[in-house]
Amino acid sequence: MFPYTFMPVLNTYPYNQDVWAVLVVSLFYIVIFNLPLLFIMIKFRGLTINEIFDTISGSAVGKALSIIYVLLFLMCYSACLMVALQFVSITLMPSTPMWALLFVAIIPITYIAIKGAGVIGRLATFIVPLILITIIVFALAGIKMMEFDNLKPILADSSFLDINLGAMYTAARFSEISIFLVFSYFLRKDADIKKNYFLSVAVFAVFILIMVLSTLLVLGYDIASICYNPYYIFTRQVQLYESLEKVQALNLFVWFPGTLLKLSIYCFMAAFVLNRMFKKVSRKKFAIGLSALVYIICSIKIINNTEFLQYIGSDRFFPYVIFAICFVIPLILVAIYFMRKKKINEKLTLALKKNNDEQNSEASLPS
Amino acid sequence: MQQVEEFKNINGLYDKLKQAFNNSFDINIEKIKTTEDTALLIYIEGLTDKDLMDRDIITPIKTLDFEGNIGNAIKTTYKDAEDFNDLITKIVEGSVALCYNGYALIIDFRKWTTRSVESPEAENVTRGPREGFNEDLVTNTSLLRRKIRNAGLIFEKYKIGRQSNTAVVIAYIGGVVNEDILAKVRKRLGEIDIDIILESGSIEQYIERNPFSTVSGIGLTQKPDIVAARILEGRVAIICDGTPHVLTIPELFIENIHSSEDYYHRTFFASFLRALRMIALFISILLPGLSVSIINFNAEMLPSTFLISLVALSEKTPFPEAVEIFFLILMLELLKESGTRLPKTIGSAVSIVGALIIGEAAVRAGLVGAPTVIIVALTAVTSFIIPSLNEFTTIYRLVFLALGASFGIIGIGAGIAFMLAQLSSINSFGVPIMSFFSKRELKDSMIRFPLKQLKYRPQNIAKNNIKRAN
Amino acid sequence: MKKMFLIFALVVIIVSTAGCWSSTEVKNLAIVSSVIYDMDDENNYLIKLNIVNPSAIGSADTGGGGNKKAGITLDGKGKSYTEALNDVSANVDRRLFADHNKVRFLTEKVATKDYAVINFLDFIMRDALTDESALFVVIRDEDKDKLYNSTATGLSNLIGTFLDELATTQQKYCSSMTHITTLDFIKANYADGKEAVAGTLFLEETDNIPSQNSGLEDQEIQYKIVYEGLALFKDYSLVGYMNGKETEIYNILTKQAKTGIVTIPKDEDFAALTWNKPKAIIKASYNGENAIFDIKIEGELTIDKMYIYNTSEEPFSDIMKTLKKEVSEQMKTRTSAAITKAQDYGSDIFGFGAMLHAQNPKAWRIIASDWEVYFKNATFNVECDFKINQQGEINKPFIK
Repeated sequence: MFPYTFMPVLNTYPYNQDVWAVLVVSLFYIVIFNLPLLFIMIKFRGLTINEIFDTISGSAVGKALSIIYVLLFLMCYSACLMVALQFVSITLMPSTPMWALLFVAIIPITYIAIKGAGVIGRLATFIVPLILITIIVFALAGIKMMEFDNLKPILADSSFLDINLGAMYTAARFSEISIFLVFSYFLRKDADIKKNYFLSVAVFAVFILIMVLSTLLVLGYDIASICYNPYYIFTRQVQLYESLEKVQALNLFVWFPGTLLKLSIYCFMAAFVLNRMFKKVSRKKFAIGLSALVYIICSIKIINNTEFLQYIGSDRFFPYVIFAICFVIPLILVAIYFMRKKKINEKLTLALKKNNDEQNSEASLPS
Repeated sequence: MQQVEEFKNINGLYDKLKQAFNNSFDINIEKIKTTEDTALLIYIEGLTDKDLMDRDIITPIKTLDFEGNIGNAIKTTYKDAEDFNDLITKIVEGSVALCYNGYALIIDFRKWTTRSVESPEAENVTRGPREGFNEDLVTNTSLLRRKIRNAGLIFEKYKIGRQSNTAVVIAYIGGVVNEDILAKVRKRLGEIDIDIILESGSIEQYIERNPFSTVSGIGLTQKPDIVAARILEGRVAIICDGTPHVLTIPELFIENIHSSEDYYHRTFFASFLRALRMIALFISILLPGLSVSIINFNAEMLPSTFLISLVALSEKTPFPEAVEIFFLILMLELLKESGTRLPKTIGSAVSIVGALIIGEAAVRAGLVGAPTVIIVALTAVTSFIIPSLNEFTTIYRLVFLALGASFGIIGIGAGIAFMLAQLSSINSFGVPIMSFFSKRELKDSMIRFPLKQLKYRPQNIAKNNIKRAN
Repeated sequence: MKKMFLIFALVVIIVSTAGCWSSTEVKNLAIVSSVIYDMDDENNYLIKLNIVNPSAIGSADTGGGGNKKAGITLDGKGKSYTEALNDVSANVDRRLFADHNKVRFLTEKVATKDYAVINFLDFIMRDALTDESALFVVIRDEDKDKLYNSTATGLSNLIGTFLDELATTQQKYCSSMTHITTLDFIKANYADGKEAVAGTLFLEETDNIPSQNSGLEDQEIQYKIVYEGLALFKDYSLVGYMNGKETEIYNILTKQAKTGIVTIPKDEDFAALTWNKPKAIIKASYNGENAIFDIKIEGELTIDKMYIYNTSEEPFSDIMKTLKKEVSEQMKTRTSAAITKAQDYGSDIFGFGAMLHAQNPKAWRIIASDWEVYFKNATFNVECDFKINQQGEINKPFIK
């Protein structure tokens, strides 16, 4: 889901100004679609994602599933990168060639992914509050230009079915649950997964709603749905004080590090999963290799153009892929778990013990 | 008192000592005629309190009757030397040695001239104690002991440097200190293998593990109250003989923005000062790059009247903005460097000449534009507010300038992500230096809550002894 | 260590040889202040740009002003607006910078051709470097040549700045003009049940010119700008104009008006009142055949000048009541007249369709496709209710 760059919710059912209601309903569907993975995360706490798949479905199928997830992360990494760089190339720097922009983006991403989960966590504590604050500041500054008539008639133009369909499509795009799955291995023993999950979904929902509402109220649905990056156009309209107009650069100033952080999370996760599968090659080499692969992918002109990216990001492709990988597969895994409960529980205790021993032996080494 | 065989022959001992010290003029090896036999008195000129020595050693042994037990004659406490090497070591440390009939007594009458306890120049405060450490180890430890009157304050002494044998003391409070950090400090100090340690800076570079990072995780200060506050948070301090700069381990990044007087002022003012320093840090690093990127890539952000006057002024200058700013930053660094080397009387004149006249002349000659001078002047002023991050800001300023000039705001965003990631990955003795965003620590990081609410020590440092008040 | 050095070297090489592709030095900018979009008879698109001359305006240091003209005018021609812009840029010694563009003028010739307006809108929306906050104004064909060369610009340097400041400042105090930005125009064109409007101005000959900031010689200036009224659009083409008084009604009905003046004549005397904070409450309904709109306009009045009256003949409260009624009557007549004019043009500029959509979505679904016809036949019941709130600083007339 790339809400900060383009808003997919504006181009889904019901195709009118009630899309904010679609967002609200989609929260409910997000929670439903994430339940299988949440269940797996809580039940198999303390294991990495490879081990989870191995424990539930045996080592061969587990490896295949891990590869599928790596491909998912790779797709998200390259798609988000291409969308972001296309936006930059169109709006800000038309004459800069794509390879230079790719370098500017990929080098920090690879560096952050090499450094690991601790650095990512600490970086996020700086960048994410900044992003949230800018969203609020722009929303407040844009109040003068908001026309509430843009939202009327409220909910009268769309049918219940339309709203639900749109909500399902929007919820199906929520690929962030896979980030939770991989990072649950790094959480402290006493951290509460459920509380963290609901808190983050709530924060995410509130801020997406603020963004979509401010865009809708200022631009109106018709114009917002045809823009490539509606939120950016909205920030262009905002006037901070009498003479300080067109401060969209402030928005970009926090958006770009945020995007880099997100992409580095994907890169790190892919490298992490691959490293746990093929223990001989270090995670650092995988991260560099993946970035090189993505660089090559993004340099192919057939893939890196707005038409193809619109297709990927639209309702015809992206929601189905994420739905299949983040809902259908975990659902099958949960079903398998319930069928072979005893066997799996034995394997689980063995794996947990092995992990504990490994961690203890690591900790006892003097630094 | 114990008798040692090799000390029995006074003449032989005399020759051996003369040979060991190579006739160095300041080491006096004297034969003194006591009431009984000849004794050997060795002391170093300039390191000994001669009056006390006369009163408590020489006069008694020359007048009193001690019956072979010279220890009873002298009117002060003493220790025994164990062997010849021990004797030599104690003598070069400045103690007085008295050898007689197999006994070698070591008496501590050390006294030398040191700089008085003065206010350190670089750490001026408007409120708070003005005492600073000086070059004498014992004075420094006594200053610290006076701040923390607690039996838990422990000083451990090490001798580092093969040739110099410099005395280095680590200070900590048992029961509060983080045991992991203490173990690491001990281990790394033990591993230092070098001829001479002159300053704590050398120790710092030997014990850190990130030689190429621009920020060190080791704090530096010259004031005892700062050191006292820090070791009470679970840190370890390293005091090196011969230098007033004391290291505190570890140091979080946010502490570069703190100053001791923050804790002596009231809440709002202290928070305001901290916020001001944070803003100064951002301006110092980002302003040149950000201004170049906005002017070159995002000129629509500037108000129209300002943009028009900017164009009018820039029309007359030949170079691009980025080059002008780079040139002025270079001039700034040159001026700073020359300012530190000159004697005080000429120093201020040179900076006035440099800043005002050269800057003014450059604008008049049409080499640089007035906006550029303002930007660089602001950068310069803010760079003096946080002196401990000088290396960090200088390097990153240039990096951001280059990125901003070539890639605009996107480049600066990428640079910020890179810089924050690099900072977040630095561990100082196992403690990550950018860990100050948890709920409890926010109360004392960028703003300061009232002292009554600061009940907890920094989480990552004092792991098990978090609560400091009720 | 070697790796880090390689990466560092790579970064330095990229950054230093990058050559800053997209950066434009500030001294290479030609700042566009306003643009006139025009067409000629062979369907060529013409563009006329008014560009700021920075050294004439400049700052105190560069000694601006004097005999330099504050702006220069450039022309371009092509088969599309992009071609015309290229034509202009090919002959300018700097890079055109349109992000501070203050006003976009459209001549009547372009505005009356709907495909031309659509072309223009598509061009504006696609180009990443144009912004949407510039004013949007329709000008008469005969004015387009005089606008940059012989028009007074008040206390500003250029026409663009002058109009921008005028519209922004006077919007609070004068409702006979509109402040339509390009974004408003585009939104209204896309919206269902609302037609677009644009600001308009016309030039008037005048002899009395104060000394100018635009650098033009006094004898070159012959006209001054009168910026009031609005231009009605229907389906992307211009159909007519409204004058200042009717624009006040438009602003009241679209909730943008702040204040205005009403004059009530009495014998040979008159009373001048200012109305403030008008509120227009519009109820839309559909009775199966026609759309019915009940409009109620409320507001507060302040007396600026009172006619002379004899307090012994009529009590003061009666006079106030009569005054109130007369004002309400006048406003009601004006409102009905303005709405009728729009109905004659067939252009629902007030957004009554959108209001019907908001209040009665089911009805809207039936009549949305033929809204133009329904609008022409719609019934409007107008009620005005103004209350006299303040009488200024004196409470009795000046003369006894």
